[in-house]
Amino acid sequence: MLNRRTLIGVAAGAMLGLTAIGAQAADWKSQYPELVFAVVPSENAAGVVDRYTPFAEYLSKELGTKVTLRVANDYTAVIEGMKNKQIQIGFYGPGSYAKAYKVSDGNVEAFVTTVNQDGSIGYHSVMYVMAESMFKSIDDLKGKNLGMVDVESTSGFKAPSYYLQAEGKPVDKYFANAQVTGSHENAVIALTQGTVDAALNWWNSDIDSNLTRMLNKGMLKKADGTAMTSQDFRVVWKSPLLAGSPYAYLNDMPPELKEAIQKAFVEAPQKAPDAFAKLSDGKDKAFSPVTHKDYEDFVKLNEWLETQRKSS
Amino acid sequence: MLAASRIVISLPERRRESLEQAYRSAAAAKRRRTLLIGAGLVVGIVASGYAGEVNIERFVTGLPRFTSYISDIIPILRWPTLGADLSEWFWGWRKWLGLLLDTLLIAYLGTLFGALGAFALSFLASANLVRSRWLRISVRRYLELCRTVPEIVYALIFVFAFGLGPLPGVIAIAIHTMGALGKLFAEVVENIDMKPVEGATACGASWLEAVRYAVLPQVLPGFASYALLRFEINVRGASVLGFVGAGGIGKELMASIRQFYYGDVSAILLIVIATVIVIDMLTETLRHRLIGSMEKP
Repeated sequence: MLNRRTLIGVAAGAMLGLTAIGAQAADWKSQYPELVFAVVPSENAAGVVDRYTPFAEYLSKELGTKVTLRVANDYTAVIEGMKNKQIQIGFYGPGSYAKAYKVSDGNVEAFVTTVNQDGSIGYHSVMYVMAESMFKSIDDLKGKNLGMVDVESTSGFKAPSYYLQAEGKPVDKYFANAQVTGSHENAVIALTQGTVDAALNWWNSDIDSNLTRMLNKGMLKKADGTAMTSQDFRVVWKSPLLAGSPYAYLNDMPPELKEAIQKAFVEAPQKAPDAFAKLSDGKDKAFSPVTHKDYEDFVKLNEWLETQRKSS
Repeated sequence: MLAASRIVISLPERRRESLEQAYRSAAAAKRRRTLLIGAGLVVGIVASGYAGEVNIERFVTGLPRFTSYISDIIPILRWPTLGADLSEWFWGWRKWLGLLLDTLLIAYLGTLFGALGAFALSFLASANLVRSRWLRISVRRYLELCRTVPEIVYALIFVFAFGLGPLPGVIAIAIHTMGALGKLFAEVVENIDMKPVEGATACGASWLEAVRYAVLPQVLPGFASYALLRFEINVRGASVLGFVGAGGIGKELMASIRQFYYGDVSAILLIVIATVIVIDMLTETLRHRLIGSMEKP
């Protein structure tokens, strides 16, 4: 019977229903009042904060929840943080992402990677020597000291270990001393100071590498105080193309949140061009969606490294 | 026999009351003061906890995760396959024992050189042997300088100067040990009986001769005892120095932790713990013998 009571009842029911739907959509916001965003230290802590803070602010605005940038001490800290669900969004190299996937039993999933200026995806690992040294190629480096980055770094340890072994120059036997220096920047600094004779680093192109970023920041100076240039360094070895470094999130987060995160990243070049450009000094073109399948090779690479360790 | 009777001395009523009153107010005053201090302490703890972002809830929810790391690094050992499981767990024991030997040698050499340096400087820092205040003060400050800088900072400096390998580790441990042992040795020297020293100087001994013949026999057991204690501490220190490339097992432990090879982490830790236990027991017996010889008349 249509009277006031039924009308009020229907109106109340409709309102409750609407709030229920509204509550569902915003449900993840109450579950995640704060999202922690951490990056593997491809540069020092101050550099990371400088580079990523505008982007973290953009994400906070876009997602509607606070996104906190956390600086990690080494690659392992980010992997451990995502394993313990203290970090929700992480930026990895391909190898450390594969390790994070395995260590968290698949709870870490890659969702975007960066696209270079020329539309390509991926980067290389290179070995630098000082241009003024007598080393012209990697054959001259037999029995010398090598500076690696971190045992979880793809370009700084994993990929060179694999490819150099395939070329007949296993890293631990070919070089007198292969020492982990802690970060890409530390490896270059150790090279300039003479602590190591060669250093491994990541490299996109001649105008976009960790070395160019350090040179642009004025971090490298010669003994007389003048700034170094890229002419002071020589590349003696370059790896084949490696998959692009992925951003990954926790798999067990609500699907709406994961979609929102991926959308925020993919739309960043349009919605926050300055924050996006700051991430790569303007050298990246866009974010491209990826899935875990693109990194299966690196899961296998980690397994190969583990068997290598036990057999040596 | 007379039954034992209690002799009660009773005070006049007024006198007793005034004494009891005084006792009660004294006790009450003390209780009040204790309560005030206790309340102040509680307020201080709560305020500093708030300032230090102490979160009891987070501590309680996070506590189980602490044990989960321990259970992560211990591999599954099944009784029927125990031999195979153990040899799988300790797959690299030869390599690790070799690196551990490196660590022990680094600790031994560092302790030896540090003890020699401390030996030389300790007599100059003792108030009963050196009259000049300036000399004592400068030696003590120098020893403090050696002691305060953490070993790992020294190791980093020397890796930069001398390159990678065990040498920076030995120097770093030697310098830090010299600072630590110098102070302990100086205190041993200051506690000796001065009569032999007076006797020696009365016979015309120079300062050096007095030290050699009157002081040294009294202090050597104490010196050796402290040096052995320092050796045990330095074995642990040398393991840590391996992290920065100063040779030894630290590098291997760090690599295992960083690459999540959990079984290796626990295996290496157990080997290091076992070694330190053995060294601890050995130095303990040696030190007891030395201290025993010190107490002989």
